[in-house]
Amino acid sequence: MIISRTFSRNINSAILVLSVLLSAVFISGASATVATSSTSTLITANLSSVLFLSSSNCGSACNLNFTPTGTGTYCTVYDNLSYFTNNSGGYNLYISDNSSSTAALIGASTIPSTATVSGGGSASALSSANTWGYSAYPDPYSLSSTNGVKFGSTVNASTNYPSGVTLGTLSGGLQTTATTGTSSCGTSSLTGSPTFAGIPLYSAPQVISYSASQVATTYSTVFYGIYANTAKPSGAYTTTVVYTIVAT
Amino acid sequence: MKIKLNHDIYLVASSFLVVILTFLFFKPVFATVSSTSTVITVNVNSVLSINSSGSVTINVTPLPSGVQSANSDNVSVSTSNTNGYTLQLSNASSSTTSLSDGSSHYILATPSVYTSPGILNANYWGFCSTTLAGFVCPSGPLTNQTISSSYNFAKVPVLGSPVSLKVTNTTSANDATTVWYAASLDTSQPSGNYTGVVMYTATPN
Repeated sequence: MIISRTFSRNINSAILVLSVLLSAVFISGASATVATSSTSTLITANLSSVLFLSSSNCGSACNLNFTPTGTGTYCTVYDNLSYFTNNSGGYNLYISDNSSSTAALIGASTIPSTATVSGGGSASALSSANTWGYSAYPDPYSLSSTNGVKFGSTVNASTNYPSGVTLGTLSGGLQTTATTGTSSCGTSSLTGSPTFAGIPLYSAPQVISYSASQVATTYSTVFYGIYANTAKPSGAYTTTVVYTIVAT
Repeated sequence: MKIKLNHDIYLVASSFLVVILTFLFFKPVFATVSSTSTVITVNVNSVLSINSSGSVTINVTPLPSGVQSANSDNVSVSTSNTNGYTLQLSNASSSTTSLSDGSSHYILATPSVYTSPGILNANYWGFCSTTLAGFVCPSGPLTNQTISSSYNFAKVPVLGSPVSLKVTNTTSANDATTVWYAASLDTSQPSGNYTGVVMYTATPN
């Protein structure tokens, strides 16, 4: 009997120990945790388009100062443009007169603009006395065959642009050797047979530079030429030219 | 006779053995108090939830010299886990840390890493969190400010290599963490909407 009671207690103790162990297991289970939890955030950087344009050579005025002869005198002056845009679609740089009715130089009389050239068309020499026009470098024809004016058969500054200007360049093609804002004049035909186009009206601006993507600072040079004789009264003849850069 | 005596001895011995085995394997019933017990277990699992703003927009109008804009995201974590949680940040992508406009243009992540954050130079983006050592973050949103060396930013690491922003050791309710995102851009970066997705992960400790 004593032996059997001892066994009974031992068995009860074993059950108790087992219960405690099971309890421990269940208590341990109470500290179980949920799985990792995540969330996300969309980061958006909205980068606006910006455009910058300045004309630097002439400043407020490009002066063509000359003394005409009876047979006519050619004079040129140039303006330097610098511009950039981060617009991913690029830009169009336009030139026009600020008037929608005339691009003539107006003074004691008028000096009309030479014939305008439609997009992709070819400019020509200032063959008629008492006309004026513009030329551009780099030749926009090579940049946009539909919008630009072709100023020469090849993009070659040494043949496409007026005499009296040595085509030394800074980075980007800025013309550097003529005195700022002053003209170069001569009585003979301009060396290299430069070509000019008429200044378009404000309502129909013409592309002189173009890109389909963003550009860092870029330069263009716009030449203005006049061929005049003594038939015109002396005095100051003026107009205002507008450069416009548009995101595309 | 001798043989019978032995047989009797064996019989008695066998009977005694049966009695012994009976006591060994069958619990005898005695007239004493008997009790049993049941363990009642309530399993209270810890819960954890995390929320973020869902969208952070950084507006930039660049200058050639570069400008810096920044905006913040608020991440809140709630958990009943008595050991707290660990909050981690990474890109949602395991392959890129850049923001993309979807047209092959990218704003790269700053080369600075979170263990050594630095100035956010032009045409980079990054994050800043004051929960980490070495970071100095803006006190408020920035819009087209001069790129500042006063603030430190780092790249958001790729998925799989997250940075731990915060480690807690107790329960929390809507415990907030502010994370700043900034972009420094100049005009050489094409315009557009550049996007990327960052991921916050909270893990019970």
